[in-house]
Amino acid sequence: MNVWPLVFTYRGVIRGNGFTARIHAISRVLAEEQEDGGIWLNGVEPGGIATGGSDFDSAHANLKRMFYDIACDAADEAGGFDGFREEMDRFFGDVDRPVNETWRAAWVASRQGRLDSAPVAALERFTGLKTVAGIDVEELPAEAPADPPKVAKPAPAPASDLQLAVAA
Amino acid sequence: MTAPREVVKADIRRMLDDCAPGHESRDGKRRTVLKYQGKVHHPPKGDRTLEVGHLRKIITQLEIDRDCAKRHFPAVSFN
Repeated sequence: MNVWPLVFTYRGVIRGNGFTARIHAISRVLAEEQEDGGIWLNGVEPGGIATGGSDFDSAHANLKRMFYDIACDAADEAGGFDGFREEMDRFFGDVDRPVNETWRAAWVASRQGRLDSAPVAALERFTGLKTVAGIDVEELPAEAPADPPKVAKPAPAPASDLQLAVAA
Repeated sequence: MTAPREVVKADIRRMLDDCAPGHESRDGKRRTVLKYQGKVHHPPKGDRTLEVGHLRKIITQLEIDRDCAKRHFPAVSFN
């Protein structure tokens, strides 16, 4: 089974109880080729995310939705901005250690040209510091628009500038 | 033995009761929050089944004993 070490960036604006926050997160994800040709995106940092799809595009869209849903749940449940930031920091610091080992081995293999790169040829390459995961959560003025605007369900997928990239 | 694509949530709950005693599970507005020993996974809400990838994620992320999980899901590879 092919695996690829990926990095994805999430930028979005989330509205909670009495606050609005901007998130900028750089995450590490292991892409795993499934027996049926589908793609499973397995979170490393944060480790509490995982989702799949029939191909990279659909898995990527599902990952964006999952990240957004988790942030919205955290915002809904937080008593205020400080509680939200604390929960997002905790969420992000929760590393999946076994998958991290696989990601790092795949990262080394990628740097050495030992991975099958054809399936990920269309993905943008990030190098160096871009592979270091982290999250910044900043409070915005209350009038800042949420992303997406609050609407009756079902909510549309957010148009955030999430990116998926191979660590090279 | 062919690995299943999906697993029944009730079977996962039985596995967790056996292999992750003291785990917590609750539904948020959009996702389920599954906690064990300070580690968290956020599987989808609703539906009777989960993709088998979520079961594997639960095992690695929550650091559950693989041999114990294997007894409940003998057709699933946890390597």
